[in-house]
Amino acid sequence: MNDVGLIPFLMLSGFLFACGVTCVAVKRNAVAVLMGVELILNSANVNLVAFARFTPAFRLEGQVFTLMVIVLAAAEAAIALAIILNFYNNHATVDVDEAKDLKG
Amino acid sequence: MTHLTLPVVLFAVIATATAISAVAVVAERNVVRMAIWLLFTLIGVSLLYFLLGAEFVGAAQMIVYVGGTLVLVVFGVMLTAQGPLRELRTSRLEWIVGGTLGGALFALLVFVSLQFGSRTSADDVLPGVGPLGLSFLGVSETTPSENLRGVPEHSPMKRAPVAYLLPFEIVSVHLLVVLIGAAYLARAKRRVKP
Amino acid sequence: MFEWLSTTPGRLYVIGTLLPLAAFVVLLAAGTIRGLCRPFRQQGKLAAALYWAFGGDQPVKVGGYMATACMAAAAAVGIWGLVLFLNDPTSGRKHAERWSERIDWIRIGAFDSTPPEVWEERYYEWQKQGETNGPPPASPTAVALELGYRIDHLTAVVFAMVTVIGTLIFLFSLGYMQEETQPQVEDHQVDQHSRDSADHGSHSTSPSSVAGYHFTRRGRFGRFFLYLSLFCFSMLNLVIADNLFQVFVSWELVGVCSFFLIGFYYERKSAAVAANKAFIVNRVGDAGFLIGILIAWTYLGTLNFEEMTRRVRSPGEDSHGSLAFANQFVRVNAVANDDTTTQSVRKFQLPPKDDPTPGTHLALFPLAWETPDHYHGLGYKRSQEQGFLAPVNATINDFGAIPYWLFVVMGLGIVLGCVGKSAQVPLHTWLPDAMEGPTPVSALIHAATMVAAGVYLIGRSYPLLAPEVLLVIAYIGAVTLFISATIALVQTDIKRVLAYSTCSQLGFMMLALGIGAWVAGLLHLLTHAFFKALLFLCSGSVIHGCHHEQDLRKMGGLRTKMPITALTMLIGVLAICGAPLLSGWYSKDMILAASLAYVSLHPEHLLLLALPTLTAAMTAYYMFRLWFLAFTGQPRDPQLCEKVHESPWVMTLPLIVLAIFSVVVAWGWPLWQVEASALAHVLHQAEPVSVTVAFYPEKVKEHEVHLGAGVLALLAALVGAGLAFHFFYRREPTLARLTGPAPTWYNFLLRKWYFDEVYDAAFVEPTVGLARFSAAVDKRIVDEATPAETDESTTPRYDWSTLDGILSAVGQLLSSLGAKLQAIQTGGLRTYVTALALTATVLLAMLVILTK
Repeated sequence: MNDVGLIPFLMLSGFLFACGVTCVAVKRNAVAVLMGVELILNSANVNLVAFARFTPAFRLEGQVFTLMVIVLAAAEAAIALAIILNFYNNHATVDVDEAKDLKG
Repeated sequence: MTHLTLPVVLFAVIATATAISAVAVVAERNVVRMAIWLLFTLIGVSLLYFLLGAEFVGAAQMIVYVGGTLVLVVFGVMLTAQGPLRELRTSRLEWIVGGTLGGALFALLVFVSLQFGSRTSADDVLPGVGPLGLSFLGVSETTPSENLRGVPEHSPMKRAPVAYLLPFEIVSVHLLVVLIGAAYLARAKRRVKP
Repeated sequence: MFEWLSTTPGRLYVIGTLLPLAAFVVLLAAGTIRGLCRPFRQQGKLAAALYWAFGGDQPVKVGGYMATACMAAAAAVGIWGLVLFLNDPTSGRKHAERWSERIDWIRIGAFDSTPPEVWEERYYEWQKQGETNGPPPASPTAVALELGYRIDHLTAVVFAMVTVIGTLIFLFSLGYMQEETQPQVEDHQVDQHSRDSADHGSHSTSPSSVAGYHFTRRGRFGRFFLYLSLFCFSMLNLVIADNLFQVFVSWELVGVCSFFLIGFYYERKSAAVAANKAFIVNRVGDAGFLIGILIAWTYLGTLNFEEMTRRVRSPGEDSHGSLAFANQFVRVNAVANDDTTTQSVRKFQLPPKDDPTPGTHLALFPLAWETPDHYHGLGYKRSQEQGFLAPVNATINDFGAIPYWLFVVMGLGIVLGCVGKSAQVPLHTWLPDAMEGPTPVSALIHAATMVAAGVYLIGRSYPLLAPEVLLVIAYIGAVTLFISATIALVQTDIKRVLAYSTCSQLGFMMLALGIGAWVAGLLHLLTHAFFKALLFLCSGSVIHGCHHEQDLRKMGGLRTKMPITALTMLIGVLAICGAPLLSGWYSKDMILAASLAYVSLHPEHLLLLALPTLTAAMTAYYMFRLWFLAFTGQPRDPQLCEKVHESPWVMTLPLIVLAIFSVVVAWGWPLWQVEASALAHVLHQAEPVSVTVAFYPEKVKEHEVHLGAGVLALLAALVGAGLAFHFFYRREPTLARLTGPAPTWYNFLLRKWYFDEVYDAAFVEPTVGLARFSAAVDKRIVDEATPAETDESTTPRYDWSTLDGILSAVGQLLSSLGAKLQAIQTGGLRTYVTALALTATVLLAMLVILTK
């Protein structure tokens, strides 16, 4: 594994992150936005595990945090979907551009 | 240049697949297809975990994400389906802005990553399920090779016992609260609008 | 229980001072509760119960009785304290401990808990060890504005005077203000005001006052006593204060009470204007007073009277025998400091013996040099020959120096305050107008107490006043007493005659103080307080009896109708004229004697004798004129005379008591010797040593010329009284003659030397003009063109040329900016996420670039 090294993992993580941000920024479907968020979280996880693997001080911590993020992401997905459903029930659409109640 | 060993080849293949499917997630307009591409991405990430030696995390990723979260997302797609042909289009300008932004972010992150230099680790194997589980219970059996940073030298304490019991509990309670909240939010309600 | 009474009997005075304050607080609380509960008076429940309990629509008399009782208690305390004080056997430091206390009020700087006495002892110990034993003990660095009282003979006597007269006037007010106890009071004198304002169109008059010009309001019995109580508290606090700052605070309180009371009938325009005038004119004086205080605080480092005296005057006694400088101002010159080790300190030296010009600076003496049994003068060690050093940031325990001109300015500032408060030329114009207030107020404030505060303060701060300042005081007094007396000659309003008489008598006091007759001036303050209160209350009784007719020309022949008033007023008139054996005689004789002595030693100040002698004659003339016009002859207005009645006993009783006081208050044994006056002896105990030091030749001379002055005063009074007798009793005046055309000089006097007109032209008109101009600059022309219809939102135009326009423009610019910023807040989720990501990107980029 030492042949690969840390940097490729970080670059992949960065790529996933950029994809996630782009996804969140351009998608109008709320579920798609949620998927973008999942991508971002995954990129962070890759980062964590990679550092755990290549930094002796973080061998345990990296994994523990990753596990926690996975669990929290699941919870987040659940509640986000609940919110989306509610929004859909009220507005009959999942277009986030319709959600302008906070307009100043 | 690195040798073309098995891990390198494996990484190259998996990483390429993951990246392609991530791009597909972004590019795809159909939500259902997006979910499928996301599935591939998640599987790819979990494979990467295996490759890194974090078998438990990889397994958890596979089970929770692929088996749980993604199913949830698909359910979301189904519950909010607005007819098969209706797509929410985004204007070209927004695509350009979002893409530029993503590209800039990626460039920056790559630049930052390159600052780290190559690192290697003597230990080939990450702590497995046993140490992880014990750490969640507040006990540590590991005898790590390095001192904890920040502790003065000649200190009798080599390394503080890893205790994630409390975070674990917090996460558990958090999950509980979130699930209750989700159930409350998503419970069947009468439409307010006609 | 009363242990403190034997250790510190001075606290009696604190209690006496706080008693009126207690009455004030109770009245204020009751009035406030009543006012707050008024809206709920119909609804029942607790609020309504409270409302009706505190009087409801009908003003309660209990408040007045309670305030009077408090004042009476204060008078008892005052007299008791006076007796205790006069019989106090202690002296020196022990005496001071028993009769004075100080506490820090507002602290400035780091506080050192060491009391000054302890520190002085330490300093003395250090000095005894030969000044070789290390550095001197650090002096307390903190300074504080203090609260304190200090009782000396002057304070004790004035306190008793104020409380006694106050009590009598409270009692009188119970009768005089009787109609204020009605739920509905008709104020006929508001008519003029409402008609005026209707003409001007500036106020919208209420329908009730327009119809028939009758103004009705609720009686203000409680409010009257509320103000009076606060006033008495302030005055007493002023009297017992031991430092200038406390005096200043009380001074302003007294001023504001005066404002409230002059404007008591504030619906009358004249009363409101008079109140404003009194307040504003007094502010002019107070500005000077404040300047004086600030100079004293900056240079002397303390505001305590005794400490200030010790700072500016050389020590009274000196163990080293250089008594030549005792209790004097020591003027020094600044000289170059050759000592290289003490470059930062300034050096001062006495002028050479053969140099007649006085020094440019006044030496300030350290407080701590004085220890209980050991005094050092300026002659201490080498300082006389070699000068002394004053550290740049000197504390009150170091030698120091103040530029002499600044010291004079300080004195003039204090005097300006006193001139304002005591209604001296040129700030005298407010006092006659202040007669708009109810008559007891005129008696209490504008005769007996508040106006006396100025004279009292000059007496108090006497050692701080430079000779030049004293001369200014003397001339101010002389000019005032003359001008006011001439105006009083022709006034026809009974209260205005008395008001100008008050100015004139205050001028006598000022003159006396200015020429070094400290005891005479303050004795006149006391005697005048009694007989002027008496005169005012008598006039109040007359006004009450004549149903608020104040014009002397319409009176006449009232003697048979109101015998008690007539008789007591005659006593007052005799007293103020200086009839032998009445109290006024003692004080006025002493003043004239001092003035004669002063002029015979300083012939260039002849005016200081001529004016008071002339005025003594005029005083007798105008006072007898008043009495003859009011009480003798045939009634000139029969209609009015029909309804006249004697006042009830609550009003005549104070008259009788005050008449007795007016006769006996200055008595001593033998009666016929002015110098034997017991009150003068008491006052003499409090006289600052510096008076004798500065005016020793005058004092000696005064004893020589005393008899001559007495004869002069008596002759003057007789001439004045005889003239009045001739014009207003023998040749009985008719209404036609009194109201007929008059010569030019008469009009000149009637218009009060045109002071008001000159002030109007010199100060008021320019100020009003400036205000108009400012308003014109400030106003938007657009507003005036279309008043009220201009809608800001529909016509958002602003006029940059005016101040108002600029301010509006700034506001509108900000508003439009906000409207533009609003567009950014799309509420769109993706916009926000994009912005967030963009921010993160930029931040990351900055991080990368900066850490490169």
